[in-house]
Amino acid sequence: MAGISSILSIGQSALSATQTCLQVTSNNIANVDTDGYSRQSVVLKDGYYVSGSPGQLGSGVIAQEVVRAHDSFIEAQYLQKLSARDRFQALYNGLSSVQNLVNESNTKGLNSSLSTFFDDWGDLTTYPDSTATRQTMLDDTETLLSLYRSMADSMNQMEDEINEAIAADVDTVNALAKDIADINAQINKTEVEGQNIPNGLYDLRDQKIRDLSSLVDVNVIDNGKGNVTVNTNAGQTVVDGMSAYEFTFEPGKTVRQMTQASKTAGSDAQAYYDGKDSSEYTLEVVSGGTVGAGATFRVSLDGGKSWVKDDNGNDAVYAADDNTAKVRVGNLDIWFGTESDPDTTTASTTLLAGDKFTLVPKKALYWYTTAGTPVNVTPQQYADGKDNAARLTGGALAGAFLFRDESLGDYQNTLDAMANTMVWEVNRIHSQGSGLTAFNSVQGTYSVADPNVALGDPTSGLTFSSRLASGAAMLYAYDSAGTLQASGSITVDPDADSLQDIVDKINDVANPVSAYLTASIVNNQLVVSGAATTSSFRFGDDSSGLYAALGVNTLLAGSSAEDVSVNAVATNNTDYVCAGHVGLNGLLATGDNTTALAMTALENKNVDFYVVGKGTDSQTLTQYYSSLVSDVGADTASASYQLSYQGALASQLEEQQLAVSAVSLDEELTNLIRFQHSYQAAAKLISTADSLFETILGLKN
Amino acid sequence: MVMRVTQQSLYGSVIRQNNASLSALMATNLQSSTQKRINAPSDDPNGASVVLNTRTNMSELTQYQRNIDSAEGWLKQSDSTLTSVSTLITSIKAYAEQGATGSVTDANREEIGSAVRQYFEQLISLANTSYGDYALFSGQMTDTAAFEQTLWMNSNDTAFDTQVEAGGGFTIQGDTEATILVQFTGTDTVGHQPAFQYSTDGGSTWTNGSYGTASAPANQQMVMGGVTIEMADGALDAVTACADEDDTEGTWMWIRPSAVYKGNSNDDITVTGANTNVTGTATGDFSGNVMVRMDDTSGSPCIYSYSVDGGTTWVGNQTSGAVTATSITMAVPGGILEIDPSTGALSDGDQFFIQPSTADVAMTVSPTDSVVVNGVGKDIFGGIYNDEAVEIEGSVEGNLFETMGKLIGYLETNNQQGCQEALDQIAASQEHLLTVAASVGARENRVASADTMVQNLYENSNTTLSNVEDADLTALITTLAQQELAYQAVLKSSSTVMQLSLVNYI
Repeated sequence: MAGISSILSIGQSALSATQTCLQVTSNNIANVDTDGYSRQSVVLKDGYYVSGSPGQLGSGVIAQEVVRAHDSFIEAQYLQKLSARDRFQALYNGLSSVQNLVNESNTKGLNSSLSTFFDDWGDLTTYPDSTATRQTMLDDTETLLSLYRSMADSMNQMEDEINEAIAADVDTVNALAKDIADINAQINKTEVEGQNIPNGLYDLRDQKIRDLSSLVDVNVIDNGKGNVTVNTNAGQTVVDGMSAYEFTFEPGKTVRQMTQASKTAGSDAQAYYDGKDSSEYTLEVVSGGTVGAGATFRVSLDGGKSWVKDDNGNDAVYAADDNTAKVRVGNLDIWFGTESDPDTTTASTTLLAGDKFTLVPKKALYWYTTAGTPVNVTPQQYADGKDNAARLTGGALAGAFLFRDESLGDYQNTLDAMANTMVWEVNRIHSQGSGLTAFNSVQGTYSVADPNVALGDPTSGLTFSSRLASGAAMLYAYDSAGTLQASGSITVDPDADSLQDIVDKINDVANPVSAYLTASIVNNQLVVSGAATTSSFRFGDDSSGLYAALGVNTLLAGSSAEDVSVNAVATNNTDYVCAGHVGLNGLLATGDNTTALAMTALENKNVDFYVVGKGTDSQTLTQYYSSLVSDVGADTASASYQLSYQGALASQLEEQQLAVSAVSLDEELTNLIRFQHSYQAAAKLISTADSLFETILGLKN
Repeated sequence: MVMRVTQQSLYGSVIRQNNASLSALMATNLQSSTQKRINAPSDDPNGASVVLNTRTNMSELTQYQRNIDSAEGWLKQSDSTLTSVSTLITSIKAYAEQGATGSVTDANREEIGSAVRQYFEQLISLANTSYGDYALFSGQMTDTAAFEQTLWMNSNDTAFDTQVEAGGGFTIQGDTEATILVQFTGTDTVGHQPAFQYSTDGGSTWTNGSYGTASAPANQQMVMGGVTIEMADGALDAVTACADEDDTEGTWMWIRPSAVYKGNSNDDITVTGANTNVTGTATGDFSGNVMVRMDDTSGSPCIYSYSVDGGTTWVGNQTSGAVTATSITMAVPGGILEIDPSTGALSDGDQFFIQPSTADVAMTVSPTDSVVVNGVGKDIFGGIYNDEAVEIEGSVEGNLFETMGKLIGYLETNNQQGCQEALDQIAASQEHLLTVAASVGARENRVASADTMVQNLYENSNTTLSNVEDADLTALITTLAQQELAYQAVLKSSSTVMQLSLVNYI
C-alpha cells in the first residue's frame, strides 16, 4: 500500500513541480522583450528519502526555489563602462554644440569678419577721407563685434542650459538613491534565504543601479540580500543598505584651511569674491599680517599644483585687503572680511603664511556626510589632463561638469582674451591718430573705481590698468579757424599717477595747452573740453597707452566678448575715425593715411593674449582664433573617439550579460515541450497508480 | 566560441549594425554634397586651422589687388602729367630762344611774353592735376590744389639781394597783369626811402613811385600802382641809383608772376621732449613718428630703446654715440637724434618723440612692398615755399616756376640778356623733371611686378586651400559605392537572421 500511495504522491509532486516549471517558462517567454528582466529557472530537488526494506526510496520532486540567471562580475564591469560611455556622451553633446558656433567650414563666421575688418582699413589707406569707405569700415566692425557678442551669449546660454540639465540629473540621482534604499528594505522583508527569492525586486534594483551608473560612477559592494552599499569611485556613499545619501547642486562654498598657528591666534579671516569663473581659486597666504596692512597671497587654479605667474615668471603676489580695495585676479575681485561679515574687519582678522582659502566661484556638486558636512565632489581636471580622483569621475554628471568647467569655461576665457586684446591693440593705434574733425569735447569710455588710486594699481578698477607703461601723451589745441594754438605733452607714470593726477596735469598752468583745454572727471571717467566754445583739440603720440586705457579717441569700447561695441563717438560721425595723424604745426592733411597703414599692419603683428593661469600667448589675432577653433575641433574629435571606444566596450559587456541573463525563445520553447512531456509522464503516473488500485481492489471479488 | 544568443542581443545588434553602416554612408554623403573633406573642425582640427589662416591670407591678397589698381591709377596720371609738362617746357624753350636772339623786336618780345604767360598758367593747372578727388602733387594735403599763382620779385643787384634776405625777405601785395619794372633813381640811407620809378609796359613809360605805411617799424612799403612791396630798411639802403633808363649798373627790380606751393612737404622734423625739459634735433629721412626712450643715462655711452609703432613694442639695448656735455647722438630707423643734456635734467626713463612732417601717400601693394604714389610739388616744380624760392638740388636754377616767371619778366620788359639766362636755366629744370618722371616710371614697374607677385601668391594660397579642404572626388565616389554595398549587405543578412525562429517549426 505504501508503495502504491507513494506512487500517487510522487505523481502528484511531479505534476505540481512540472506545473511550476511550465509557469516559470511561460513567464520567461512573456518577458522576452522586458528590459532588465533576468531569465528565471526553477531549482528542482528530489524529495526526502525514506528508509524502506529495499533501502532508501525517494519521494518525488520538490520545486525548491526560483532563481534568476545573472552574472554579477560582468555587471560590475558593465557599470564602469556605462559610466565612462555616458560621461563622454555628455561631453560630446556639449562640445558639438560649441563646435557648431565656431564651424566656418561652409559659412562665413568670425574669421572672415575679422579679415574683412582689416581689408576695410586697407581700403582706407587708399581713400582716407572718403565717408563711404569709413562708413563701410564701421558697419563691418559692428558685424564683427556682434559676432563676438553672439558667440559669448550662446556660450552663456549653453552654460545655463547645462546647469539646468545638471540640476535635473542631480534630482534624478537622489530619487534613484531613495528608490534603491526602498528596494533594499523590501528585499530584506520578503526574502527567505533558500526558499523565497524576490527576483523581480533584484532585477528592479539592478536596473536602478544601472540608471544611477549612467549619471555617476558607482562601485557596488554586495553583502547579500538588501545589504548593498553603492559608493562612488572616490568613496562617497550613495546608498548604504536602507539609507540613501544626498547630492546637492548649489553655489560654491568657500573652504577655509587655516594653519595651526592661525587657529591658536583665533583668526576669523575669510576670503570673499565678486564675479564668477569656471576654475576653483586656491589662495595661499605668502606673507602674514593684518588684512590691508601688508598681508599678501598667491593664487592657484588647479588646487595648489601650480601658481599663477606674473610677467617675469615669478609667482604673482597680491595684496590682501578689505572690501574698499578689492584686488582683481583673473575674473574675480577678491577681498577679505570676517567669517560672519564680508564688509568689516576686526583686530583678529589676521593672516599667517600658509593659510589657505579655496574659492568656488560657480555652482558646484556637494555630497553631505551623515554629520551634515558638505564635501565638494565637483569633477576637476588637472593641467596635465588627469582627473582629480577625489571627485566624481564618471557618468553624465561628470561629463556635464567637465564640459561646463574645463571646456566651455576655457573657451569663454579664450574668447574674452581675444576680444580684450583686439580692443586694446586697435585702440592703441587709433587713439594716437587723428580724424578729419578736431574734438570740442570728449568723454572717455572706461571708468575707474577710485579717481585717487594710481592708474596702474590692480585696485584702481581700470580695466586695462595692467597694460599701461611709463611715458607721455601729446595734446594739440586749436582755435575756431583750425590754427594750432599750442601743443603739449603730459607725463604718465602708471604706478604713481591717479586719474585726478592726470586731470591736474592737463589743467596745470605750466602745460601750454592748459589755456585752451579743461580736463575734469565725470562718472569717474576723463572728460576733456575746449576752454572756449570755439576751441578744439586733437590727440597725438602716446607712449604710455593712457588714451587707449581711458577710452578717448578710440574706435572700440568694452573689454570682453560680451560687451565689445563700437565707440559711439565714431558711429555718430565718421569724421572721428582716425586714418591720419597730426602733422607739422598741427596740420591734419586729408590724404594722411599713416594710422590706417598702422592698423593694416596689425593684422600680421604678433600681439599678447592673457588668460589667467595660462601665461601669455604671442600670436596674430587670426592665428589665435584659428587655434581656438582647432582646440574645439580637437576636443570634440577626442570626445567622439572616446565615446565610440567606450561605447563599443560597453556594448560588448552588455552582450555578455545578455548572453547570461536574457531569454532565448528557442530555449524556452524547447523547455516548454520538455516540461509538457514531463507533465504528460507525471499524469501517466497517476493513471498507472489508479489502475493499480483498481487491480488490488478487484482481487477480493 | 559558443555563446548563448538571446532575442534581445539579436535585435539589439541588428539595430546597431544598421545604424553604423547608415551613419558612415551619411558622412560620405555630406562630403560629396559640400565637396569638402573638412565640414567641422573635429574632422581635422589642424586642417581647420590652416583653412582659416589661408582664407584670411587670400582676403588680404585681394585687398592688395585693390591697392595695386589704385596705385596704378595715381602713377599713370602722374606719368602723363609730367610728360605733358615736359612737352610744354620744350615749347617754352623755343620761345625763350626767340626772345634771346637779337633780331627780335620789342613788340615781338611782348607777343612772345604774352604767349609764355599763357603757358605759365597752363603749367600751374598741370601741376594741380588730381586723380579723382585727390591732388597728385600736394603732398598729403590731397584736398588742396598744389600751386597758386602769385607775384614774386627778382633783381639784377646781388648786393641788394643779400641785404633783402638778411632783412627777412619781402612781401608783395596786390595784383598786376603785366610785369612791373622798378628802377631806383636815387639813394637814401637816412630815411630809407630812395626814389624810384616804375613801368608797367616794359619800359616805354615811367611813373614815379611812392612809399606807403609799412606794417612793421623797421620796414618800408613801396607802392607801384596796384601793387605794393614791403622790405627791411637795410635792403633799401643797399640800392644803387640808375643814371638813366638804360643804366644796367643801377638796381632794377622785376615784379612778375610765380607760383606758391600750398601743399605740405617731407622736410621738417620736430623733436618733442615728452616727459623732460631736454631739447633735441633730428636729421634724416623718417617715414613716420619714432619714439626714443633713455634707459641708462649714467654711463658713457648711454643705453636707449626706440619704438616705431607708437610705443607698443620697443627695441632695446641700443648704444648711443660718445656723450659730451652738450650732445648725445642716437641712431634710430630713419636718421639720427641728437639731444643736448645741458638744456635740462636728463634721467632714466626720459622719452623723446621724433615727429617728421609726412607728405608721402604710401600704398601697400604686396606683403613686402609699399609704393609712394604722389609727389611733393615744390620738389618737382619748384615755386615759392615758406616765403622763399625753392632750391632744387642746392640751387634756384632747377626751380621751374621761378625760371618761367623770370622769363616772363624779361620778355615783357624786353631784356634780351635776361632771356638768355632764363634759357640756360630752363634746361636744368627740364632735366630735373625728367628725373622725377623716370622715378614715377620706376614705381609703375614696381607696382606691375607686385601685381604679378600678388596674383601668384593668391594662386598658391588657393591651391593650398584646395589641397587641405577639398574632398578627393574619385575616392569619394568609390567610398560611397562601397558603403552602399556594405549597407545593403547588412540589411540582407539582418533580415535573414530575423526570420529564423523555432516557432515556424513547432
